[in-house]
Amino acid sequence: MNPEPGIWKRMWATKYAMATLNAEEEDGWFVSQTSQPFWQSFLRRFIASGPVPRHVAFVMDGNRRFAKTRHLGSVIKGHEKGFLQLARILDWCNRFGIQEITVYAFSIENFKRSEDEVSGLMRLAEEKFAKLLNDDKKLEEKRICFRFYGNRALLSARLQQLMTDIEEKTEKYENGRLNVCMPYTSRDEIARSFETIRQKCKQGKVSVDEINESMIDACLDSGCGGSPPDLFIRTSGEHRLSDFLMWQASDTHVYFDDVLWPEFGYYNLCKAILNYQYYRTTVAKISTLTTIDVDNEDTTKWQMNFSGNYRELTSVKS
Amino acid sequence: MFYSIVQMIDVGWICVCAVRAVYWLVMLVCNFLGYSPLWAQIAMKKRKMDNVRIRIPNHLAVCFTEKRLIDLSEVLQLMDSCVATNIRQLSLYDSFGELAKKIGEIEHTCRIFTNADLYCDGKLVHSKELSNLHVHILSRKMSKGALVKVCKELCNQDEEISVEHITRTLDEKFHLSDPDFLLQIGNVPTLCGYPPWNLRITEFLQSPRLPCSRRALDYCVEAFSQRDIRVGK
Repeated sequence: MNPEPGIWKRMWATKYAMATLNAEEEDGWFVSQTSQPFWQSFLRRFIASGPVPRHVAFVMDGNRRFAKTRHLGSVIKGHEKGFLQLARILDWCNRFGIQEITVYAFSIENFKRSEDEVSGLMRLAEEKFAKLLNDDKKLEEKRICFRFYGNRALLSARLQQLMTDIEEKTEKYENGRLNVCMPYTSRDEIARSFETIRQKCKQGKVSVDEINESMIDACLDSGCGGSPPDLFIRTSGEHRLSDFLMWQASDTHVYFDDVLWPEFGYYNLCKAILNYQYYRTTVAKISTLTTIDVDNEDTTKWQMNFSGNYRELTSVKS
Repeated sequence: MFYSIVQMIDVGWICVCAVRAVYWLVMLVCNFLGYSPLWAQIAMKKRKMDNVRIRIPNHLAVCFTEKRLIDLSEVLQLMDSCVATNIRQLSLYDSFGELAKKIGEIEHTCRIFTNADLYCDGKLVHSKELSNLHVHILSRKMSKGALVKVCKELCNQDEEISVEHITRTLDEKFHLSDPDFLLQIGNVPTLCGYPPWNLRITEFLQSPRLPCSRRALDYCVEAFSQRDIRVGK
């Protein structure tokens, strides 16, 4: 009998994805910069000689299926493996020169899951955020700016505080940016953006006629220094957006991979970047046409100036 | 004579071995690359379909990612196939504006052949009594631009803006609703600015050509039926 199709490929990918890490690294957000196998460096040099996406967004799907297929005992173990893989992928993206990464960590819809799983995930998030906040040495060394997108009011006070502290601590870092979406849905983000604009209109700071795409962009969670993604990656073979960055990714290169998130290895990342390089100019051409057509009514650009909790919407006439 | 027979058996044996070796090599490569050979694919598909209940998407959306693939006769054929398949709503999004330009011809066909209501960028163009298909021709104007207009309208009201308000206003003002299934026509992997609000749980399928025939559309419906939709759970 033939083995299940693709099983060797998956075993190969998993073997190399699980490169050796020490115990401390396995718990943390940053993995060592010195342990990349030669074939990874070779592939990186080859791929990075072409255009590399500036911003990549990930839907980290498949942790629960990974836990089930590997008989890990609990879905939380699958989420832990998923976090470990995220740390590796952050390192790989950093080496590729990718400046901004957005990850879909927890959807507002995920609150519908079992109480055990939701509380387990919240515990895991608290533990990882606390560890990140206390890891001054690594934070200073990497200088990555952390931002959190989503409706934080739905989280515990402790988690909200940890997120605020991390944002404040890393606000000035400029080596890269990691946006963690938790608890997030794109519709909620857009609705909050509309409400912010409505409040500004009510206060007389802007008029209704001035509202345009750029103003909505500036009032989104990503408006505080973020950019639209160049590449949107979803794992686990599901082909849908699941309410993630629907506004920002409406003209983005969308890439679906069949592997589960904890199995998303270096080879898979390289495939995604090569696919981006192949279609980059065509996708860019289509998105430019969109911009020309829609923006011909109002060319005013808006930006959100921010510092800590302070936000100010300002216009830049073009 | 005897010698030549032995020689023929030898050659035959070598040929059999060669065929077996090539077969083995093909299987090895297929397994490594994740492609199962054709006959295995057919058997697997049959087994899978035996266990899958066919679900017809209520609302089918089509997003053209390449201008060269927009063909009016194929679009009209697709409308007929949708009626035959029992699909209730068909949204045709063309970011290049080709279909919006040909709305007159589409309307003409709707009047004569297809029992369908026709909308162009949210405006009713043609309506028939007892229609069994709603066809929406969407252009770039219905992309983020529609959301900007909704935002302007909601900002004039005193009520706090919520997700439900936006969904309702988009539906009332532009007849924009969430498709169950979206076909990306062409090889370019992008959504070309398809109205973003409505893609929350839409399933995507990329197809190199428009599946205008009944058989091709049935194949897409089968693919949709196999999708697992969980909405957060």
